[in-house]
Amino acid sequence: MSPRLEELFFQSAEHSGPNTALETLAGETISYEDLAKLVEKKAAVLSSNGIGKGCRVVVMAPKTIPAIAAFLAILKTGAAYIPIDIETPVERLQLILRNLDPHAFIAYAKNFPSDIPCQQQMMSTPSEDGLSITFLTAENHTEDLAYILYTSGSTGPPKGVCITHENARAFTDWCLDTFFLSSNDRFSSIAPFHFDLSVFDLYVAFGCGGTILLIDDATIKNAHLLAELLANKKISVIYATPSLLSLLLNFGKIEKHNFSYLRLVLFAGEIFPVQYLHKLMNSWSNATFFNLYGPTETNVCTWYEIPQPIDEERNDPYPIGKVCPQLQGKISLEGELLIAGPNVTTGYWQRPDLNENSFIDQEGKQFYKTGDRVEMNENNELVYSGRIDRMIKKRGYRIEPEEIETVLLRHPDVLEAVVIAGTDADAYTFLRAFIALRPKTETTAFTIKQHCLELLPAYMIPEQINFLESLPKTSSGKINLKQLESH
Amino acid sequence: MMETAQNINTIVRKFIIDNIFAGVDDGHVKDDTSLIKTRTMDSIVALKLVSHLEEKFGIEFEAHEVDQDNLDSIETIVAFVQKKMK
Repeated sequence: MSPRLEELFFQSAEHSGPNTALETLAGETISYEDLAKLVEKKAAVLSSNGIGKGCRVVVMAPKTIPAIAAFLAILKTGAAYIPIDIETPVERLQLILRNLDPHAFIAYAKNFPSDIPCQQQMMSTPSEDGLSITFLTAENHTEDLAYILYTSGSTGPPKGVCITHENARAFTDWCLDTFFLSSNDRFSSIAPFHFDLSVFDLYVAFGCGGTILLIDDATIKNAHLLAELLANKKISVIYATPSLLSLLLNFGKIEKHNFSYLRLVLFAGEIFPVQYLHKLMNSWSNATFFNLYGPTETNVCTWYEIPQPIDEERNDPYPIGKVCPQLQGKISLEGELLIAGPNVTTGYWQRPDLNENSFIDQEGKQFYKTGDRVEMNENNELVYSGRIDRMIKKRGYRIEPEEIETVLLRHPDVLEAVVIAGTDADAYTFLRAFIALRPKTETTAFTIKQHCLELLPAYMIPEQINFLESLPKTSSGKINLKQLESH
Repeated sequence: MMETAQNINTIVRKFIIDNIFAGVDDGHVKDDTSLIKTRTMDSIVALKLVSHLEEKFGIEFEAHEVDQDNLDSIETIVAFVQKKMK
């Protein structure tokens, strides 16, 4: 039987019980041993209400100590947890819950949705720490999953990527073997829990007995404050998207702070513009930098250490590197990167349509089709060269433009709509919507944005709304995306 | 030279229209229209706005001042810039 994800925490609780496991910005701290007691207590409540192997439990909570205790307690019972952003618009949440059919829902009262579809609420248990649990009647039992992460889906509703204990541990154990981490390390929890970067922040930190600083969403959005905190709190390990790191560099006034404790910077989710990466490496000169690559379906599947001293002449993005040793990578005839091995998801929750198209069996192994086009350079390193489909990567989030277009077309005044990516002068990716309105309508960019906000998460709202008389077409009648790119 | 509220307003409005509404001022953004609370302006645009204001008006934001209380509408931004310039 493969090792379980929560064991990383419980082993450290046994070996280094008095060490601080979690710290919040408000100054709360909790040791490994105290957190373990909290987890046991929560797990007992869940178990006594029927939560166990094969169950699915939603946690919709901001970054707090009780939320992390809930994740661990759910795992301890044998169930899987599903972290959902508290900002998820109601309708999107309903789509997720309808697909997921959870056995329990954990949230603070103020984040609790007014209506959970398709299910009968059995009972609610408030707890001392403010997180209440609502037990639900649910049908299917899963295999032995650790968590499910929902990401943007090209055919409309979000899709749930199922991650088993084996998948998660193949990733965390590789990190623990590779990055020389110790219980003296201080990790920053920057990524939200519904984003797979947080799996590193939590479980790799637990695995080495380190301390995690929980950073709330408002602070993440304020680069000035975030830079000050990372320095003052003596953070030694950061894992974030290039967008966030560029924001720290360009707006965080990092030269005012002392980052001498920072020794490891990992980034993933998108291409890091080389000019910013080099500047950041010059500012954080004590740190080693790694480019990690991988869709949620594989967590991380390739890695590359940015060579030092920096090659200041270089303008091309760095490679995504080599396939992690526990995995197998192949490049298809079309140039798409295929990945097999213990990191790779078993599939999407209750989506046989997607599961059929997302994997390919070769040599007796199931390869996940990443959708990313890659090339091999002269050093046998993989270099990312774009998507084979229309997926957009913005701030580390995967966005299927079709999901936004579906929402735009639901506005009664919108006749045609298409969404493409643009890049601003500072190399940030943003979304450009092109819309043709029905005749005699007076909808404005402002109202279109408000319409989107009701149905989509903030990172999927197009930054730029362009109105055209009609959208340009190719000779075959499809919308001419190439022409819009130069608009 | 002391900037008038009107000058500051013009500069802030132009930045917001250019960065959020592709340069088209359709009259929907009033001086008191909420931008951050309604998520019309995202965090990246807010950070760019802070840099822009620092550069244009020679002021400096403290880390805790980069928040929605000071940046939510054109009106609050103008008032904050004026306060910092005093």
